[in-house]
Amino acid sequence: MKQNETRQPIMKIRHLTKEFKIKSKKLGAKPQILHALNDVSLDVYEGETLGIIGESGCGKSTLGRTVIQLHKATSGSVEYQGQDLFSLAGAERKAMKRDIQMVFQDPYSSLDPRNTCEQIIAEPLKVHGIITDSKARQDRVLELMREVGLDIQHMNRYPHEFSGGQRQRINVARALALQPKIIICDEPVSALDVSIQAQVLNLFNRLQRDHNLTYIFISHDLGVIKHVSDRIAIMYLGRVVELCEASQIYDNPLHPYTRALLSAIPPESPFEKKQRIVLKGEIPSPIGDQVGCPLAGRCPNCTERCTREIPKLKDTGDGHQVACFLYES
Amino acid sequence: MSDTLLKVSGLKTYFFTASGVSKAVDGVSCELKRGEVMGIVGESGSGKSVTSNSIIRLLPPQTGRIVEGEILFEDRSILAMSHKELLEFRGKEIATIFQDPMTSLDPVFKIGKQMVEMICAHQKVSKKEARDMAVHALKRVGIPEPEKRMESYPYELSGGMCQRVIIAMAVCCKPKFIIADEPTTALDVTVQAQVLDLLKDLQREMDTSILLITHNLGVVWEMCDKVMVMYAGNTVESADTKELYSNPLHPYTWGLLDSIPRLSDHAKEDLRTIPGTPPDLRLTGKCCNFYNRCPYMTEECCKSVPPLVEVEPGHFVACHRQNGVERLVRGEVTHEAK
Repeated sequence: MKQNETRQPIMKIRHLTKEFKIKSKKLGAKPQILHALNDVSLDVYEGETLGIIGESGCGKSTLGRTVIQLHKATSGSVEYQGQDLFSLAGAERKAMKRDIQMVFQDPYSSLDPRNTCEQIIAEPLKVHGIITDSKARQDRVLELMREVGLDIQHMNRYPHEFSGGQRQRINVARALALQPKIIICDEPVSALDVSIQAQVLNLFNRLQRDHNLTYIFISHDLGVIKHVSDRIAIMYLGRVVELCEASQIYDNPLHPYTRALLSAIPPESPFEKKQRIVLKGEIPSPIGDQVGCPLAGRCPNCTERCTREIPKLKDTGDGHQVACFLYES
Repeated sequence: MSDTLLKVSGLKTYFFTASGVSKAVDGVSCELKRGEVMGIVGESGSGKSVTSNSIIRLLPPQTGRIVEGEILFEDRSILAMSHKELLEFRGKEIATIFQDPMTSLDPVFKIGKQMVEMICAHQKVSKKEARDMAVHALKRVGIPEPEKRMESYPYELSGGMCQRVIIAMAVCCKPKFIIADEPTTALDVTVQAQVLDLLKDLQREMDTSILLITHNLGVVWEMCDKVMVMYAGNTVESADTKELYSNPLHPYTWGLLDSIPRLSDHAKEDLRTIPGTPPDLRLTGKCCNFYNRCPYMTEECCKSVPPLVEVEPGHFVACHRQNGVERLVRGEVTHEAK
């Protein structure tokens, strides 16, 4: 988008890499290395939704968690409003955490079962010492509950008394409590039924308009991602393989993986006949060193070069970036 | 032999729990012909799985009971079968594919042993023959190196592979009817596409009927000849797939179709939603279960349960305002309803 060229990104993710060590079964053997994230660089602009999509094991959740420092990055940096997040400590770090909040996937396990709804939403306010007066804090909690569409009479209920959709609303209210700039949503609707999912997606859209929020929205459902996102990053095996405007992914997918992913989605009507691009086999193991393009073994357009070199993310014009040798001249 | 393979009429399965009687399935009727694929869609708690488990009579014996209705399989009543008949019947005539591939295989036995055990239980063959059949079935479902995989434990295989193993087990005895209970929900989209293709191929090859339970309408469009929509234990609508898509009649079906984010949509537009949440199944059964979420609700809806009527040939709807006499226009809310 032309706008983006003048806009400064609110968050810059640069060469982010995360490796997990896996203990070897044999005694004394060197631990193996699982490459969860490989050299991921992304810009996030203020007020936009960056959608991240990929199959399980592609590193999309690890990306969200590494950005918010639930995992320690192996290398690379995340810059937020000009500050390097990973070098912050103490009070500065705490202040930064106010600006970046997270909504987790499972609405059942991400709420403490022994706290009431009010306590859950009030906790971040307490921890960060924003509202010390308990009456004022309760008012703020009620305001937040109203905002996300919860019945304020339910403030003294425990999580088990709520349905999945309501619990996810509590999660959103808790994330909103600190008036963050960026919310990282890690599959926030995948545990919900379609009719409830639609309600929660509308809630996300409304909150973004009202508060000028920036979302990093992680999901495996292309329909959902397309619906909420301004830009979409497609991940495969720890790498971003394509990055484009939300409309382009459907109109003009470039990477062979993106095309296969689109063709694998069940049709939208019984009259639609899809030409399916079949990827042979399954996603390879991220353990051990990678040689060549991660898709090389499954790609219908695989060449000899793909098995030797790793393609880099390159711009094909209009901000549409793709990591594939097919588009290199 | 008649053309109808399975006929379920007025099925009611209740769960008798400490906190009351939960009407998980409260009036389900459907008919399945030979070689047909029928889908059941609905949200969680709408009674899809309980319906399928009732058909094979796999209900928790302490609490679950079929209180009313009839299930006929090739004109035999499943409800009248003895325990011994059932054992023979399940697996051989009806096979089931469950949702979670990792937990429906026994983790402590090798794949091969589990398959051989199953085949020997239903067919009079030697262990050696059973083994050959198992290898052949694994090969058919596209598992590379089937002989080697026979010696694997379930944890060594990925989710997609496990699901293939389960499908292989299901088709081993050439059943006439397969119940697939959310067979691809636990899988990624690309793997889901592979598994659905496989199921479709096998279905055509063996002319089996499939009852496919899913909450993903896309899967229904791709796989099914006809579809039944369930809500809070009731059949609310059932029709041919194409008919249901182009001419849905029940307000719940409208809401369901509207609330799915589509790829062809414009980004960032609000989805049309169904307000509210599904009802408590202990309190249903006195009126239309959808009345509190329905924009077209009238007084009659809170008074009596709408019967399932055939408004067009093969198209059944359970709605007071769509019963053929009255007709609703989609998106048009009447005065009374407001």
